[in-house]
Amino acid sequence: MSDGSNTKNRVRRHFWLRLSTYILGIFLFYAPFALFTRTIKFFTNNSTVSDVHNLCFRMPINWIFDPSQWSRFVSSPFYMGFFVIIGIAFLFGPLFCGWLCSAGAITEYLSRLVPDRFKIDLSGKVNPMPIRYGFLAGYLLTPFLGGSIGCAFCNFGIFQRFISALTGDWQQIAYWSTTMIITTMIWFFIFGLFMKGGRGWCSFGCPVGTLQSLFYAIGSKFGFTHKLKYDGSKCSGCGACIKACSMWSIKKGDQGKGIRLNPHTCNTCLDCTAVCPRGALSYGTGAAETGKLLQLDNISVSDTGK
Amino acid sequence: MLHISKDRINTISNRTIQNLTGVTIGLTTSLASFQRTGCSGNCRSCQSCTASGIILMASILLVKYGGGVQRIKKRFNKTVDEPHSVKIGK
Repeated sequence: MSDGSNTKNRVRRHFWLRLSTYILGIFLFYAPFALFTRTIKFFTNNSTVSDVHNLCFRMPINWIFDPSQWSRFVSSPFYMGFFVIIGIAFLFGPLFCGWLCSAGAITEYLSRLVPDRFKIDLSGKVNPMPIRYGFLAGYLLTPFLGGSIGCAFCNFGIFQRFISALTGDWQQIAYWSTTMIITTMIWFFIFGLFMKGGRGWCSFGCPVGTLQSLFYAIGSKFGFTHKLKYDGSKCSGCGACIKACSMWSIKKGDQGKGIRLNPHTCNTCLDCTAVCPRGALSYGTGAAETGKLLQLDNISVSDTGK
Repeated sequence: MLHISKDRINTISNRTIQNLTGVTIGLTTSLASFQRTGCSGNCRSCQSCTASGIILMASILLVKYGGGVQRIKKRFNKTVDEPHSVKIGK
Protein backbone atom coordinates (compact mmCIF):
# COMPACT_ATOMS: atom_id res chain seq x y z
CA MET A 1 0.00 0.00 0.00
CA SER A 2 1.33 3.45 -0.88
CA ASP A 3 2.23 6.15 1.66
CA GLY A 4 -0.63 8.31 0.40
CA SER A 5 -3.34 5.71 1.01
CA ASN A 6 -1.73 4.84 4.38
CA THR A 7 -2.05 8.47 5.46
CA LYS A 8 -5.61 8.64 4.14
CA ASN A 9 -6.60 5.55 6.13
CA ARG A 10 -4.88 6.90 9.24
CA VAL A 11 -6.70 10.23 8.93
CA ARG A 12 -10.03 8.48 8.40
CA ARG A 13 -9.47 6.21 11.40
CA HIS A 14 -8.45 9.18 13.55
CA PHE A 15 -11.52 11.16 12.44
CA TRP A 16 -13.95 8.42 13.45
CA LEU A 17 -12.08 7.61 16.66
CA ARG A 18 -12.23 11.20 17.83
CA LEU A 19 -15.86 11.60 16.76
CA SER A 20 -16.78 8.50 18.75
CA THR A 21 -15.05 9.77 21.90
CA TYR A 22 -16.95 13.05 21.59
CA ILE A 23 -20.23 11.14 21.30
CA LEU A 24 -19.12 9.16 24.34
CA GLY A 25 -18.60 12.54 26.07
CA ILE A 26 -22.29 13.37 25.46
CA PHE A 27 -23.37 10.09 27.03
CA LEU A 28 -20.98 10.50 29.98
CA PHE A 29 -21.69 14.11 30.98
CA TYR A 30 -24.93 15.41 29.42
CA ALA A 31 -28.51 14.82 30.57
CA PRO A 32 -30.63 12.79 30.10
CA PHE A 33 -27.75 10.28 29.95
CA ALA A 34 -24.99 11.66 32.25
CA LEU A 35 -23.74 8.11 32.84
CA PHE A 36 -20.52 9.18 34.58
CA THR A 37 -22.36 11.51 36.96
CA ARG A 38 -25.11 8.98 37.65
CA THR A 39 -22.54 6.26 38.42
CA ILE A 40 -20.80 8.44 41.01
CA LYS A 41 -24.12 9.55 42.47
CA PHE A 42 -25.27 5.94 42.71
CA PHE A 43 -22.27 5.04 44.85
CA THR A 44 -22.52 8.19 46.98
CA ASN A 45 -26.32 7.89 47.50
CA ASN A 46 -26.88 11.31 45.95
CA SER A 47 -30.30 11.68 44.32
CA THR A 48 -30.00 15.19 42.81
CA VAL A 49 -30.58 15.87 39.10
CA SER A 50 -27.72 14.75 36.87
CA ASP A 51 -26.62 16.94 34.02
CA VAL A 52 -23.50 18.73 32.82
CA HIS A 53 -23.72 21.31 35.63
CA ASN A 54 -22.72 18.69 38.20
CA LEU A 55 -19.29 18.51 36.66
CA CYS A 56 -18.82 22.24 36.13
CA PHE A 57 -15.19 23.05 35.43
CA ARG A 58 -15.73 26.80 35.14
CA MET A 59 -17.04 27.80 38.55
CA PRO A 60 -14.06 26.19 40.34
CA ILE A 61 -11.82 28.64 38.43
CA ASN A 62 -13.76 31.45 40.12
CA TRP A 63 -13.30 29.80 43.51
CA ILE A 64 -9.55 29.24 43.41
CA PHE A 65 -8.76 32.64 44.95
CA ASP A 66 -11.87 32.82 47.11
CA PRO A 67 -11.25 30.94 50.38
CA SER A 68 -14.91 31.29 51.40
CA GLN A 69 -15.80 28.98 48.49
CA TRP A 70 -13.21 26.28 49.14
CA SER A 71 -15.66 24.27 51.25
CA ARG A 72 -17.61 23.60 48.03
CA PHE A 73 -14.79 21.38 46.80
CA VAL A 74 -15.24 19.23 49.89
CA SER A 75 -19.05 19.28 50.00
CA SER A 76 -19.41 18.29 46.37
CA PRO A 77 -16.69 15.92 45.14
CA PHE A 78 -17.77 16.56 41.53
CA TYR A 79 -15.95 19.87 41.63
CA MET A 80 -12.73 17.94 42.24
CA GLY A 81 -13.06 16.86 38.61
CA PHE A 82 -11.60 20.23 37.76
CA PHE A 83 -8.34 19.29 39.50
CA VAL A 84 -8.35 15.90 37.79
CA ILE A 85 -8.45 17.42 34.29
CA ILE A 86 -5.75 19.92 35.27
CA GLY A 87 -3.55 17.04 36.49
CA ILE A 88 -4.20 15.12 33.26
CA ALA A 89 -3.34 18.25 31.26
CA PHE A 90 0.00 18.54 33.06
CA LEU A 91 0.92 14.91 32.44
CA PHE A 92 -0.74 14.16 29.09
CA GLY A 93 -1.99 17.45 27.62
CA PRO A 94 -5.52 18.90 27.45
CA LEU A 95 -7.03 15.56 26.42
CA PHE A 96 -10.45 16.59 27.74
CA CYS A 97 -10.61 19.36 25.11
CA GLY A 98 -9.25 17.26 22.28
CA TRP A 99 -11.17 14.07 22.93
CA LEU A 100 -14.16 14.49 25.27
CA CYS A 101 -15.52 18.05 25.20
CA SER A 102 -18.55 17.69 22.96
CA ALA A 103 -19.41 21.41 23.26
CA GLY A 104 -16.16 22.27 21.44
CA ALA A 105 -16.39 19.33 19.05
CA ILE A 106 -19.89 20.08 17.77
CA THR A 107 -18.77 23.32 16.12
CA GLU A 108 -15.49 21.83 14.88
CA TYR A 109 -17.16 18.88 13.19
CA LEU A 110 -20.10 20.84 11.78
CA SER A 111 -17.74 23.52 10.43
CA ARG A 112 -16.20 20.84 8.20
CA LEU A 113 -19.46 20.83 6.27
CA VAL A 114 -19.23 24.57 5.55
CA PRO A 115 -17.20 25.48 2.43
CA ASP A 116 -13.95 27.33 3.22
CA ARG A 117 -14.93 30.39 1.20
CA PHE A 118 -17.70 31.17 3.73
CA LYS A 119 -15.37 31.00 6.75
CA ILE A 120 -13.51 33.73 8.63
CA ASP A 121 -9.84 32.83 8.47
CA LEU A 122 -7.93 34.22 11.46
CA SER A 123 -5.16 31.62 11.50
CA GLY A 124 -1.79 33.31 11.30
CA LYS A 125 -3.48 36.74 11.53
CA VAL A 126 -4.71 36.92 15.11
CA ASN A 127 -2.74 35.25 17.88
CA PRO A 128 -5.27 33.63 20.23
CA MET A 129 -2.77 32.97 23.04
CA PRO A 130 -2.73 36.42 24.74
CA ILE A 131 -6.50 36.83 24.24
CA ARG A 132 -7.31 33.56 25.97
CA TYR A 133 -4.90 34.29 28.81
CA GLY A 134 -6.47 37.74 29.21
CA PHE A 135 -9.89 36.10 29.35
CA LEU A 136 -8.65 33.69 32.00
CA ALA A 137 -7.18 36.60 33.99
CA GLY A 138 -10.68 38.12 34.08
CA TYR A 139 -12.01 34.86 35.52
CA LEU A 140 -9.40 34.82 38.23
CA LEU A 141 -9.94 38.51 38.97
CA THR A 142 -13.72 38.55 39.50
CA PRO A 143 -13.78 37.02 43.03
CA PHE A 144 -11.72 40.04 44.14
CA LEU A 145 -14.35 42.33 42.61
CA GLY A 146 -17.10 40.54 44.53
CA GLY A 147 -18.90 38.80 41.70
CA SER A 148 -18.73 36.04 39.14
CA ILE A 149 -18.55 35.42 35.44
CA GLY A 150 -18.52 31.64 35.69
CA CYS A 151 -21.85 31.06 33.98
CA ALA A 152 -21.66 33.81 31.38
CA PHE A 153 -21.16 32.57 27.84
CA CYS A 154 -21.20 28.97 29.04
CA ASN A 155 -21.17 26.77 25.98
CA PHE A 156 -21.50 23.67 28.18
CA GLY A 157 -24.86 25.02 29.42
CA ILE A 158 -25.98 25.95 25.92
CA PHE A 159 -25.06 22.52 24.61
CA GLN A 160 -26.85 20.81 27.54
CA ARG A 161 -30.10 22.61 26.62
CA PHE A 162 -29.59 21.66 23.00
CA ILE A 163 -29.20 17.96 23.89
CA SER A 164 -32.11 18.10 26.35
CA ALA A 165 -34.41 19.62 23.74
CA LEU A 166 -33.36 17.00 21.17
CA THR A 167 -33.97 14.14 23.60
CA GLY A 168 -37.52 15.09 24.52
CA ASP A 169 -37.29 17.79 27.17
CA TRP A 170 -39.06 20.32 24.96
CA GLN A 171 -39.31 22.90 27.74
CA GLN A 172 -35.69 23.66 27.00
CA ILE A 173 -36.84 25.12 23.70
CA ALA A 174 -38.10 28.11 25.70
CA TYR A 175 -34.47 28.94 26.28
CA TRP A 176 -34.11 29.89 22.62
CA SER A 177 -36.55 32.74 23.13
CA THR A 178 -34.31 34.41 25.70
CA THR A 179 -31.52 36.86 25.01
CA MET A 180 -29.13 33.89 25.26
CA ILE A 181 -29.94 33.29 21.60
CA ILE A 182 -27.50 36.06 20.66
CA THR A 183 -24.75 34.42 22.70
CA THR A 184 -25.55 31.11 21.04
CA MET A 185 -25.40 32.66 17.61
CA ILE A 186 -21.95 34.09 18.40
CA TRP A 187 -20.61 30.83 19.86
CA PHE A 188 -22.21 28.42 17.42
CA PHE A 189 -22.19 30.29 14.13
CA ILE A 190 -19.59 33.08 14.14
CA PHE A 191 -16.94 31.44 16.34
CA GLY A 192 -18.00 27.97 15.27
CA LEU A 193 -19.40 27.01 11.92
CA PHE A 194 -18.17 30.05 10.06
CA MET A 195 -14.64 30.21 11.45
CA LYS A 196 -11.68 28.23 10.10
CA GLY A 197 -11.20 25.20 12.30
CA GLY A 198 -14.57 25.71 13.97
CA ARG A 199 -13.07 26.29 17.40
CA GLY A 200 -13.09 30.07 17.74
CA TRP A 201 -14.56 30.01 21.23
CA CYS A 202 -12.08 27.32 22.36
CA SER A 203 -9.19 29.33 20.92
CA PHE A 204 -10.11 32.74 22.29
CA GLY A 205 -12.32 32.33 25.30
CA CYS A 206 -12.71 28.98 27.02
CA PRO A 207 -11.11 29.41 30.47
CA VAL A 208 -11.15 25.66 31.12
CA GLY A 209 -9.14 25.00 27.98
CA THR A 210 -6.79 27.88 28.71
CA LEU A 211 -5.98 26.63 32.19
CA GLN A 212 -5.37 23.15 30.82
CA SER A 213 -3.13 24.57 28.10
CA LEU A 214 -1.16 26.51 30.71
CA PHE A 215 -0.50 23.35 32.69
CA TYR A 216 0.26 21.44 29.49
CA ALA A 217 2.79 24.11 28.48
CA ILE A 218 4.46 23.84 31.90
CA GLY A 219 4.35 20.04 31.83
CA SER A 220 5.77 19.83 28.32
CA LYS A 221 9.07 21.25 29.62
CA PHE A 222 9.63 18.00 31.50
CA GLY A 223 10.83 14.84 29.82
CA PHE A 224 8.53 12.45 31.70
CA THR A 225 5.27 14.03 30.51
CA HIS A 226 3.40 13.14 27.32
CA LYS A 227 3.41 15.84 24.69
CA LEU A 228 3.23 16.56 20.98
CA LYS A 229 6.73 16.00 19.58
CA TYR A 230 8.27 17.31 16.42
CA ASP A 231 11.21 15.74 14.59
CA GLY A 232 12.57 18.36 12.19
CA SER A 233 14.70 15.85 10.29
CA LYS A 234 11.59 13.98 9.11
CA CYS A 235 9.60 17.09 8.14
CA SER A 236 9.11 17.52 4.39
CA GLY A 237 7.45 20.92 4.74
CA CYS A 238 4.17 19.85 3.17
CA GLY A 239 2.22 22.01 5.66
CA ALA A 240 -0.49 19.36 6.17
CA CYS A 241 -0.28 19.76 9.96
CA ILE A 242 -0.75 23.54 9.74
CA LYS A 243 -3.86 23.05 7.63
CA ALA A 244 -5.22 20.30 9.88
CA CYS A 245 -4.81 22.14 13.19
CA SER A 246 -8.21 23.44 14.27
CA MET A 247 -6.68 25.48 17.12
CA TRP A 248 -4.15 27.28 14.86
CA SER A 249 -1.36 26.19 17.20
CA ILE A 250 1.09 25.13 14.47
CA LYS A 251 2.91 27.81 12.57
CA LYS A 252 5.76 28.04 10.11
CA GLY A 253 9.04 28.37 11.96
CA ASP A 254 11.27 31.42 11.93
CA GLN A 255 12.63 32.21 8.45
CA GLY A 256 10.44 29.48 6.99
CA LYS A 257 12.37 26.72 8.71
CA GLY A 258 10.33 23.83 10.02
CA ILE A 259 7.26 24.44 12.13
CA ARG A 260 6.60 25.87 15.57
CA LEU A 261 4.25 24.15 17.99
CA ASN A 262 2.45 26.30 20.51
CA PRO A 263 1.45 24.28 23.59
CA HIS A 264 -0.47 27.31 24.91
CA THR A 265 -3.19 26.80 22.30
CA CYS A 266 -2.86 23.07 21.48
CA ASN A 267 -5.71 20.78 22.58
CA THR A 268 -3.84 17.51 21.82
CA CYS A 269 -6.47 16.31 19.38
CA LEU A 270 -3.50 14.80 17.50
CA ASP A 271 -5.02 15.51 14.06
CA CYS A 272 -1.55 16.75 13.07
CA THR A 273 0.10 13.41 13.87
CA ALA A 274 -2.53 11.64 11.78
CA VAL A 275 -2.10 13.82 8.70
CA CYS A 276 1.71 13.94 8.78
CA PRO A 277 2.81 11.65 5.93
CA ARG A 278 6.38 11.24 7.24
CA GLY A 279 5.80 10.79 10.96
CA ALA A 280 7.53 14.05 11.87
CA LEU A 281 4.90 14.69 14.52
CA SER A 282 4.26 12.21 17.26
CA TYR A 283 2.84 12.03 20.77
CA GLY A 284 4.84 10.68 23.68
CA THR A 285 7.43 11.38 26.35
CA GLY A 286 10.84 12.98 25.79
CA ALA A 287 11.96 16.26 24.25
CA ALA A 288 9.33 18.32 22.42
CA GLU A 289 11.59 19.13 19.47
CA THR A 290 14.35 17.07 17.92
CA GLY A 291 16.19 16.86 14.61
CA LYS A 292 17.56 19.46 12.24
CA LEU A 293 14.92 21.82 10.87
CA LEU A 294 14.28 21.87 7.14
CA GLN A 295 13.25 24.79 4.97
CA LEU A 296 9.54 25.11 4.25
CA ASP A 297 9.20 26.63 0.82
CA ASN A 298 5.83 25.51 -0.37
CA ILE A 299 3.45 26.94 2.20
CA SER A 300 1.87 30.30 1.61
CA VAL A 301 0.19 32.27 4.38
CA SER A 302 -3.21 31.90 2.74
CA ASP A 303 -2.85 28.12 2.87
CA THR A 304 -2.49 27.97 6.62
CA GLY A 305 -6.16 27.70 7.41
CA LYS A 306 -8.10 24.51 7.70
CA MET B 1 25.60 44.66 14.49
CA LEU B 2 23.72 47.69 15.78
CA HIS B 3 21.22 47.23 12.93
CA ILE B 4 20.56 43.60 13.97
CA SER B 5 20.00 44.51 17.60
CA LYS B 6 17.65 47.34 16.54
CA ASP B 7 15.67 44.85 14.44
CA ARG B 8 15.52 42.48 17.36
CA ILE B 9 14.33 45.23 19.70
CA ASN B 10 11.65 46.19 17.14
CA THR B 11 10.53 42.55 16.88
CA ILE B 12 10.40 42.16 20.64
CA SER B 13 8.50 45.41 21.12
CA ASN B 14 6.04 44.49 18.33
CA ARG B 15 5.46 41.13 19.96
CA THR B 16 4.99 42.78 23.36
CA ILE B 17 2.47 45.23 21.91
CA GLN B 18 0.59 42.38 20.22
CA ASN B 19 0.54 40.36 23.44
CA LEU B 20 -0.58 43.31 25.54
CA THR B 21 -3.33 44.12 23.02
CA GLY B 22 -4.46 40.50 23.13
CA VAL B 23 -4.48 40.37 26.94
CA THR B 24 -6.45 43.65 27.06
CA ILE B 25 -9.04 42.28 24.60
CA GLY B 26 -9.39 39.08 26.62
CA LEU B 27 -9.60 40.87 29.94
CA THR B 28 -12.16 43.41 28.69
CA THR B 29 -14.24 40.63 27.18
CA SER B 30 -14.36 38.57 30.35
CA LEU B 31 -15.03 41.53 32.62
CA ALA B 32 -17.85 42.70 30.33
CA SER B 33 -19.87 39.75 31.57
CA PHE B 34 -19.14 40.48 35.23
CA GLN B 35 -22.17 40.05 37.47
CA ARG B 36 -22.42 40.74 41.17
CA THR B 37 -25.49 38.57 41.60
CA GLY B 38 -24.38 35.69 39.41
CA CYS B 39 -26.07 34.11 36.42
CA SER B 40 -29.43 32.39 36.94
CA GLY B 41 -28.95 30.30 33.82
CA ASN B 42 -32.43 31.31 32.70
CA CYS B 43 -31.80 34.68 31.21
CA ARG B 44 -34.49 37.17 30.31
CA SER B 45 -32.99 40.60 30.33
CA CYS B 46 -29.33 40.47 31.38
CA GLN B 47 -27.17 40.67 28.28
CA SER B 48 -23.75 40.68 29.89
CA CYS B 49 -22.54 37.57 28.11
CA THR B 50 -23.91 38.88 24.85
CA ALA B 51 -21.94 42.07 25.42
CA SER B 52 -18.91 39.92 26.15
CA GLY B 53 -19.31 37.95 22.95
CA ILE B 54 -19.82 41.04 20.84
CA ILE B 55 -16.74 42.73 22.34
CA LEU B 56 -14.64 39.63 21.65
CA MET B 57 -15.90 39.31 18.10
CA ALA B 58 -15.49 43.00 17.33
CA SER B 59 -12.00 43.19 18.85
CA ILE B 60 -10.76 40.16 16.97
CA LEU B 61 -12.13 41.40 13.68
CA LEU B 62 -10.64 44.82 14.41
CA VAL B 63 -7.23 43.24 15.03
CA LYS B 64 -7.54 41.28 11.80
CA TYR B 65 -8.88 44.01 9.57
CA GLY B 66 -6.93 46.72 11.44
CA GLY B 67 -3.80 45.01 10.09
CA GLY B 68 -5.48 44.92 6.70
CA VAL B 69 -6.06 48.66 6.76
CA GLN B 70 -2.39 49.23 7.57
CA ARG B 71 -1.41 47.02 4.63
CA ILE B 72 -3.69 48.97 2.30
CA LYS B 73 -2.21 52.25 3.59
CA LYS B 74 1.31 50.91 3.03
CA ARG B 75 0.39 49.82 -0.47
CA PHE B 76 -1.19 53.17 -1.19
CA ASN B 77 1.95 55.00 0.00
CA LYS B 78 4.08 52.71 -2.16
CA THR B 79 1.90 53.44 -5.17
CA VAL B 80 2.29 57.17 -4.63
CA ASP B 81 6.06 56.98 -4.12
CA GLU B 82 6.83 54.45 -6.84
CA PRO B 83 4.14 54.60 -9.54
CA HIS B 84 6.12 52.35 -11.91
CA SER B 85 6.11 49.49 -9.46
CA VAL B 86 2.35 48.99 -9.88
CA LYS B 87 1.48 46.59 -12.67
CA ILE B 88 -1.46 47.43 -14.91
CA GLY B 89 -4.29 44.97 -14.59
CA LYS B 90 -3.34 43.89 -11.08
